[in-house]
Amino acid sequence: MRKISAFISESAAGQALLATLMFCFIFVVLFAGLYKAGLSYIQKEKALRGTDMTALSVGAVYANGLQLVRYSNVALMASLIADVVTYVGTEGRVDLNLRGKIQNIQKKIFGIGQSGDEPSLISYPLLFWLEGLQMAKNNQLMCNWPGFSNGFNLPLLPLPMFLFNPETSDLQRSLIPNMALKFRSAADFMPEFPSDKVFYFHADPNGSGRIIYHPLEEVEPATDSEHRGQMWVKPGLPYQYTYCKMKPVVTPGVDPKFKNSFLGKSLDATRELLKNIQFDVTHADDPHNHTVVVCDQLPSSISKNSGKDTLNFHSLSEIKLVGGGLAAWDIAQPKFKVRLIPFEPQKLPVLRDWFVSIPGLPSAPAIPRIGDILQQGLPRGPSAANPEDIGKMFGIDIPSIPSIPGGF
Amino acid sequence: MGLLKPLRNSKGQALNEMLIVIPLLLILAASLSQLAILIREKVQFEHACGLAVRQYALGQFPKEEIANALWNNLGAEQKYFDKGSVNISAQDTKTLLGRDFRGQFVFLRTVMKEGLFNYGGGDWTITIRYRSFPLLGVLLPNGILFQTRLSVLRHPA
Repeated sequence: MRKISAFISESAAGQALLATLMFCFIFVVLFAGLYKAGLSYIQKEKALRGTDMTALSVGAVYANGLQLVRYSNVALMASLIADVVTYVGTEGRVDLNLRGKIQNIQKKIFGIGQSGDEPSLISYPLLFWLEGLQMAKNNQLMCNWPGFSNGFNLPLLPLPMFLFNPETSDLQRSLIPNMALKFRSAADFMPEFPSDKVFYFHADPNGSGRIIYHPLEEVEPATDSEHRGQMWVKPGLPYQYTYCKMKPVVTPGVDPKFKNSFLGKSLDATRELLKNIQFDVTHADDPHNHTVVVCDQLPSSISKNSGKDTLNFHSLSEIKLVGGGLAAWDIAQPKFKVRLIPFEPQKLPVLRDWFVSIPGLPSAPAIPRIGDILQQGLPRGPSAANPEDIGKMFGIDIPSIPSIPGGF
Repeated sequence: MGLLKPLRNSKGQALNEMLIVIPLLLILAASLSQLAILIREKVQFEHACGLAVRQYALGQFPKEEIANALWNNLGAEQKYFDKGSVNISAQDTKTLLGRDFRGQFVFLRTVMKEGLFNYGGGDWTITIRYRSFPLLGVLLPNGILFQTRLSVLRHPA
């Protein structure tokens, strides 16, 4: 050892050898780091692509379902004609009520309830959920829903997770497969009372002291604020991106005296009565909104935490269906098309608002930032992202775990 | 004794060391950059495949045109790949219903042809050869084979 030490410290050749070994070590570390980083980039790209493919596939089956709705409405129209012809032909003695039977079939198959869209697990929406699971597997994404491979055990966070039409329904309903459909009723042909107007206001940025008012249509949730519910003026309008507050007093759309009068109450009662007269199936929202969000992760063999765990890559994708109406006379219209929507991280505050709107959940922490997306796992604490909180949402008692690996 | 005399003279030793070390350092640095380029091209390949299949899912062209779409999507990175080596092996994608179902129940084929379950797609395994140069081209004259697998459905089939 003394000879070696003397050789290295005193001899020029030994010092050169030591320097060479150090350089080699540095380059080996650089190679290893570059290789691991490169693999991570490749896996991240695969994860993004996998969720995009899964979302597009779910959208294709969903679009096929909307085409089936058109066909069923044609059948409903034909049955109505048959009922009318039979009724008239038998001078009112026979009512086949084929239209009622067709409507019942539509209700069962497309999961449509009396009061609008009621998600159903024994219906066509279940098909595009199952096809989505299959396509996630085909694209090497994680699929840990109960099955033969995992002994029918429900994991804490089953993946892939789908949100169906989340923009126009609450979080609980959007977790269950649905097609955002309803029966058109006679009440839809009655004009609605003008809705109450909410106004937002802010001071004139030019310092004139004037107060500027904006209706609800001109404002949107601010994407760069840490305060939940902060609104700003929409881009493209005068005073764009200016923060504004809600006017405490709501401007009524209809004179309250008229609304509470005999005529106003009669109109409301008539509308409620006409809702029971149902026609064909149509979109639940106007303008129609059919979207699906897919959340999944791509497992990888890249190790982290000194080999104790593996790196998994989460990804989110969203698709939207565009097309025309669903009535029988729309049968000649082009089929519904699937469009991939770029996922915007700024939407995360909106998603968090959905979580905190669920009654019984503890208040959420600060709005997650872009940096949180890149971290592997969110900080633990009272949060709507905790599995036990998600379990409370469904009335299931889920024991707590130390952390959610690979969180997003 | 005459042979040992030059060894005791250390004049010019640093220059000699540099003459040996600098080329080694340059080779190592070049290898790092080659690895980085290789990884970048792999990511570009994965992205181009995804883009081509996404275009197919949106109905822009039939299945047979995916190879051309992949090559077009590579764009400026085409110089790193061999167009003749693009190989796409396709099989009918596994679905619960759709094309597989229509194929299995022959008597329902006519009814289902237009529309009860009018969605289908493919399950593709895409390979392409990466032409590495200049350093790796010496070590790997046949290049490196990139492979990926992806699957999608579209409507109408």
